[in-house]
Amino acid sequence: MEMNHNWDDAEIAELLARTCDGEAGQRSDCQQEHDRLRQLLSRAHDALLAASERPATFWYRQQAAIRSRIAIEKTSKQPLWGSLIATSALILLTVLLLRPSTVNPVAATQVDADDELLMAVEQAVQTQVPDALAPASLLSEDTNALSQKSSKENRNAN
Amino acid sequence: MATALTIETARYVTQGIAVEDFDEIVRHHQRRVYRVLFLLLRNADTADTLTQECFVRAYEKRSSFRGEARIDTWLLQIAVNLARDHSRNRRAGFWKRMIGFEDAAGADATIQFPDPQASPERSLLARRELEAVWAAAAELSSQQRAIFLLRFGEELSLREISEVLGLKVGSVKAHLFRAIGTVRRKLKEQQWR
Repeated sequence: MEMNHNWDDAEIAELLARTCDGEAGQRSDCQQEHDRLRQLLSRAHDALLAASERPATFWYRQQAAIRSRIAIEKTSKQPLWGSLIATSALILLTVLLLRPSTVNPVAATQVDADDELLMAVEQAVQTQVPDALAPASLLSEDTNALSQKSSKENRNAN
Repeated sequence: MATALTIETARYVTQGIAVEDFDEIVRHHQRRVYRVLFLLLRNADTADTLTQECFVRAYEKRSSFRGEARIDTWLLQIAVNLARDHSRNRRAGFWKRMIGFEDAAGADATIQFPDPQASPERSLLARRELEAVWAAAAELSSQQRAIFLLRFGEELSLREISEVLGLKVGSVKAHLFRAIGTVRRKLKEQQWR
């Protein structure tokens, strides 16, 4: 890596020299200027290092802050997994609950046939006279009608 | 130093970055990450916050570290991307402040020079020189500024800069050439004032 820096330094010197190309008439002035620039950049580097220096407590505090932020990251990911599992379980349960009503139409028709039978029985029960006795009931209705008619005639005669 | 770093990287490549190794990584690299962020952002508090963020992100992405780059280069890649995102957000924040959406407080803090050992005159001179270079660098495009500051502030090699910024070495050289030209011109202008 150090070799790279040296190689870079030569390259940088070349780059700085090339910035003088446009001022060929004042090349020596330009050379002096770029020497000053190199010195200035070197001093600026030292000043930057000094400016970014911090006391040991700063670095310890920063380490602690990073540790606690990583711990928070870890714990905040756990509920995410929990909620994912809970959601999948809920979806599975919903699918299982919905499945019988859609998948088993035979059972539904059986229920309908049972309903029809029940309704027929109910109707039959509600009917006052069974089918087998229908002629007898008609006869009794006629007899009743005749007797009512004769009683009215008697009343009219009186 | 370089050998130790190479061995360290090789270990992480073959074994992966274990959770217990992470404290050591933080201790070993936090100063450099902070320095680069401070260099790019010129704000001590933001550099501190983003240094923390850089290591949290590195921890999250530790399984993706494959050793194509050294571990410090990998960390600096994350740091530079964070600095870029922050600058973009700050530019957006400027317009928000202009239309009154965001409080102006908390903008750029002044740069501190905590160098108690230096004499007052020397400190003043160093401060002026640094401010002059920084002011000149502020005129550069973000790409050129990053390259210029990484080279002269952090003394990264051209190859390291190309790895950190994801550029070709030739492209880094071209940007650096233009940056040096601009800084030289700006410093000359400042001297005339």
